[in-house]
Amino acid sequence: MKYLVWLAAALAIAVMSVAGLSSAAADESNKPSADSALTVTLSKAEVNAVTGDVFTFTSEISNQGREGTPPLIANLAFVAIDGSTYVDPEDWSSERTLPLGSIGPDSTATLTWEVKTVLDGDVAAYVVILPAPPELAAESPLAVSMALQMHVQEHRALNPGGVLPTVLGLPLLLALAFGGLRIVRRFV
Amino acid sequence: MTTLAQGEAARPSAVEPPVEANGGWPVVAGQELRDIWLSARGPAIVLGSSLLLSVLTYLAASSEDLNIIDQRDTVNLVAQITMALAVAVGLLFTADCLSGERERETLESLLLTPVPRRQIALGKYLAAVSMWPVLLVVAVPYLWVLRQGEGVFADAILATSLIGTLLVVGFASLGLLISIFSASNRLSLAVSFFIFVLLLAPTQLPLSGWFGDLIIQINPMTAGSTFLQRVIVKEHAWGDELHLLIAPILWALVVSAAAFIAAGRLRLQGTLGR
Repeated sequence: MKYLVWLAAALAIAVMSVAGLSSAAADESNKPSADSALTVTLSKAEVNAVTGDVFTFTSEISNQGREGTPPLIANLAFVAIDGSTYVDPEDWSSERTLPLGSIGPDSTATLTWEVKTVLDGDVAAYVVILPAPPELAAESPLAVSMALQMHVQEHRALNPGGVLPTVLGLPLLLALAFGGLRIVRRFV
Repeated sequence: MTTLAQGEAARPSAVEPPVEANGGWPVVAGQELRDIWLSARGPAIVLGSSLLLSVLTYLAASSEDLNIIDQRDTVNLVAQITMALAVAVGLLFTADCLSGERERETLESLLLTPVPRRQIALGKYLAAVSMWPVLLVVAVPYLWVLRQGEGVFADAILATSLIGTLLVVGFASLGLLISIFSASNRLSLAVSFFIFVLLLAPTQLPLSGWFGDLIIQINPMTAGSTFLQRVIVKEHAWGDELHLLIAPILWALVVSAAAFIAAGRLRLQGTLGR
């Protein structure tokens, strides 16, 4: 009897697993194919820079399909590849999401991105193209570029923003003024 | 510390100050101003504040140069530090002004002068708040070098002047009020500084929800700080944030009225901490 219970339980698990797999397979078949007609190519593959540098690169989005795309959105993403650099994307690029519109068959759109290397370390940037709503939830898979690798060395400016004369000069001026006043008072 | 001429202090009829005497406060204020500005006290505070702002500005500019902090944030930071510094200095000066005289046993001679007590308090109060315009002027070059455009600079100067004036008036009055009743200088300074820290602390907390909104609205420090942040950093129109001026205005009016009403009852012995 005990063995029968175990057998029934094993049978039930097997039936449930098969049902689940077939359901997943059915879901999979409803998803759009991963073979996208869109390709994203970056103008640079590697950048060596120092902190505070600003550079630009372009991304070419080509539609190699036979039909035009829905309106698209391009997003620039950053990720630390050295495992230690803290990357806040907002600091690295102020405009990271750009509307692209539709791209006709066999057509190409180009976007220019500006990046500021904020911290030292190894950071990768890549561009993701995704359909604008409402197509976002339905068809058109995402298209992703290859990664642009940034190797950033630390650079400290002695006079950041031209503030050095003020930050040194003003306390000095005040010290001289107050000191001078005291000396004058001593003799007058 | 105010010390008047021997002849003035020795008048026998000066125990109860004459009501018609209206010219006493400029004498007291003048003496206090000399005491602050011609001694090392005022200049040292101004120089210290300048050094602090220099370090802050340099660090902020370094971060800003690397895009970590937005320029508007750095302007706001310098404006807020200047304001908090001026409020603390004004508060501590007034907290010391009468309880200090009491502790140094010089209050008696001051009370014996033919100057009404409110005018003594007014003279000392005005001298204490004289730090604020000087500290603001010292902050102007730092705000100028950190500015992003003319708009942010003008907004920063005007908003800081307005909020700073309201808060300095309110907190200096609070210090005066506590000093009037404090038997010892230590008590007066401790209570004043405790209240200052208590009201300043929420500006560093992430306030959200209805309770957070309530704290922002009713605490003059958080209201003033939020006003500056919204005007300077978020570029909100002044008209949209006028509700944040209610607490600083009420604070300045109510506490200064209370302080000058209480100043009429200034006594040789303090009632708190005896």
